[in-house]
Amino acid sequence: MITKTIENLETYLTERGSSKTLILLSAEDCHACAQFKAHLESVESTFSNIVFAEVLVTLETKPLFGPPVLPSIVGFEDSQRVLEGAGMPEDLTVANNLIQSWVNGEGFQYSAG
Amino acid sequence: MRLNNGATSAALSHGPGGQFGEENKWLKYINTTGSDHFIPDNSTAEKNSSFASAPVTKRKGDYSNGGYVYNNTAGFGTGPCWYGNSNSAGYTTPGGCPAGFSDAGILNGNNGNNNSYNTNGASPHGNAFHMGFYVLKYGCPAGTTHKITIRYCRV
Repeated sequence: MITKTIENLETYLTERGSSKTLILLSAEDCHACAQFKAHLESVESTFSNIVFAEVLVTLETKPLFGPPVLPSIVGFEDSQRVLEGAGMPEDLTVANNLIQSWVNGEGFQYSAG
Repeated sequence: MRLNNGATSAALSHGPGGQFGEENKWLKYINTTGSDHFIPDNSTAEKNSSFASAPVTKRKGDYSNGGYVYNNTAGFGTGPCWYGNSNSAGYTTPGGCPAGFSDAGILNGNNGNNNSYNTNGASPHGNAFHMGFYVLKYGCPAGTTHKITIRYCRV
């Protein structure tokens, strides 16, 4: 998993074009974020056509495109938000299934709330 | 110190002494009881060692309240870290009590953060997030909130 800053994210997504980019919205001092990141890294190789990128945010820098919960995942194509996973699901395979559905061109959302 | 039956100890410095300094401070133990005995040295190390090796059941917890020792469990709310408030998140059932501790019910907390209590030295009892930090040692990032459920486990 690569790391991107919130300030450079828009430019990076533009460069990615239509390629799939999965953003993990995370934060310092966030135990669940670290857990979720470890899980995503464990399955990252399964989705070789998707780039996984962690973006650390704060209360001041949280992006409007993200759900109001940490950690979360947001998928982008052509700089457009096309996938959203709000929070860390208790059953982490829910996240895997969401990403797989993205690959399959199917439904694009879960909420752990 | 082990003092066998019939043995006499070395000269030992026990007690605070008197108005002339050394007065009444020194003594010897003489064991004529017919049995061997353990006599603790007047030291913190021996005291701690005595507690640690005492042949009794020990139940160690995080804090004490009302005559009980508590060793709670916690369930971190789903989500888990919400901007604004955590009302939309669900509670998570904590695990069962550790062996030897009795279940004394659960307490939910909402819209708080365990990390707000990471340096708070007050008694955590009754504050779900303060107790949550005792159990988990983590919370959510500054500016976010979470839910927590505590299971009171006491002996």
